[in-house]
Amino acid sequence: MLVVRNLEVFYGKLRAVKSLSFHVNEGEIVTIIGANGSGKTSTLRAISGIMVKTRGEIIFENERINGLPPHVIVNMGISHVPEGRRLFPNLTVRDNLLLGAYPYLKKNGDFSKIVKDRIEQVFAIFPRLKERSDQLAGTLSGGEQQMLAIGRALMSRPRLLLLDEPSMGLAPVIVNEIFKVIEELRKDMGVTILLVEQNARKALEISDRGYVLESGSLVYSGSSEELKKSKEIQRAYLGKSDFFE
Amino acid sequence: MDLIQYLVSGISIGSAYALIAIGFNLIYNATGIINFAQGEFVMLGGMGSVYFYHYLHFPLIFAILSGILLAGVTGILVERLSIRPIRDASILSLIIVTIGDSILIRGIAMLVWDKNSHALPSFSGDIPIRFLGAAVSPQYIWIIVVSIISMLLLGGFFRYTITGKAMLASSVDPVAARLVGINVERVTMYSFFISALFSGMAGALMTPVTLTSYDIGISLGLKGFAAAVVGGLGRMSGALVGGIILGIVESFSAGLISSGYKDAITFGLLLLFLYMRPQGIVGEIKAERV
Ligand SMILES: Nc1ncnc2c1ncn2[C@@H]1O[C@H](COP(=O)(O)OP(=O)(O)OP(=O)(O)O)[C@@H](O)[C@H]1O
Ligand SMILES: [Mg+2]
Repeated sequence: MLVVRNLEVFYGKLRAVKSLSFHVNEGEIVTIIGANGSGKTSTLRAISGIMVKTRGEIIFENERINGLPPHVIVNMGISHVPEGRRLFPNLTVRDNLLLGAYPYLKKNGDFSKIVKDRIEQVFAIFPRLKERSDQLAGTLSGGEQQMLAIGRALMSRPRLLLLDEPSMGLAPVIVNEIFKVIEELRKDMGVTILLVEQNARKALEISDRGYVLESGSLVYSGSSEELKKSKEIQRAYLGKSDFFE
Repeated sequence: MDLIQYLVSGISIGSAYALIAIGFNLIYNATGIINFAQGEFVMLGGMGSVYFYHYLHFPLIFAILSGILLAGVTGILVERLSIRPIRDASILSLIIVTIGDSILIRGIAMLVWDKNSHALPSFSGDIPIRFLGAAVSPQYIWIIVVSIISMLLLGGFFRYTITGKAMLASSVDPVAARLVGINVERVTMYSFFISALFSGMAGALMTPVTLTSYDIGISLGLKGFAAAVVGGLGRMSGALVGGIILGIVESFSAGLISSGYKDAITFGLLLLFLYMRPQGIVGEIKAERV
């Protein structure tokens, strides 16, 4: 479904991602793990089109998408839940969701019944958002903000969902809840998921395969089982999260 | 009852300033730029209306609408031709570009039209309306009514339409806006268009009472900017508060002291706010969330 070949991402002269190749098959949950600054976020930003200085190839459903503007990429079926949620804090929960369907609304007029149904579906997944639908997004708790960020991304009916550190800064109970939802999204809605996480243990538990980045380069790849068993990965990525749990 | 008269004319001119301030705010929110060409949109609204009315003999209402539209289209051109091509430049460079735009637009207006002052007839004659013992020119009422209606419409646009919401979203977080599929460049262009329409409307509405000329944008731009700062830069409700305060202060100082001090008082108020309360009356101090 998604094939990335020799991707390089630049910030000015700095090369944040170096000759990275990986792929995601339809229906998979794939995890990218790596320490701070290893280039995970930059990779996702390149896929969704907000990083323009890239080299290499990003192919989604047999179409080359690098160089396309982000709104075109969203329209093709890729949705990105960015690091740090990045909600619209001055708008209500409902309006944040509404904007998640922006391309659809632009095409079909402001008062689309289908969009209302989609909002209800997001509320069914995250009932807590329903109670707060008229509250400003900026006043939600961290966990609720993450739920809204995921809900907003689902509003465009993506076939591929990019999730950047959904567990960041959340209490373990909420993290479990979010990860359960991620699994359900694949099972119930058939969404393919590319997940970026520092919480490697949790991420590998729900994913099929994983890639490990170190300072912009791919160092390991394999099934989640293999990665969990690998001594080096246990030491570098799983040991650390044990310490925090 | 001179005081009532000063009050009504102050509120009236003040609501026109508010329209100009809204123009500043729209562009500021969309791009972070203080647009020095804002006054030229005001001038185009006025001079354009004059041109369509006196030279092309449009009926008054169509002349005014065309003048306002001329300002709006110029807003789009300013965005497309001078801002978008260098969008990644620093805010300071972009602001300097708008100074260039302003000089250019003013120059073209002078060459195409002339250097004289021009008037438009009042929208509904000049017979004063009696109001609480004062005689008020009906044009002042027109200015108030049209300004308030357009501000309400703009408020409704932001609250109830998806494009309005997309504009709000793009102004707080353009990257997140791109990620949900908003074409931020397009939305920025809409901001310039509406901004120029509002300022052009102020220019057309004021022409019957203040006259217009190719260079009137310099002072009216400053008035609108002062109103925006007094109310709180970027705040739509602030624009109305700031505009009306400025209008009333000016009107009373012109009536009670001398009209020669009007501009000095605007400047004084602007500087006072920049020093003492840079966030404006309606604004709050921004607390950045980490
Ligand atoms: N806006 C930017 N400007 C310049 N350099 C940047 C920018 N964003 C990221 N970088 C650099 O690019 C490299 C990769 O950053 P990136 O954010 O992709 O890492 P990450 O794996 O997502 O890290 P984290 O786990 O902390 O989120 C880092 O060296 C970082 O300093
Ligand atoms: Mg990151």
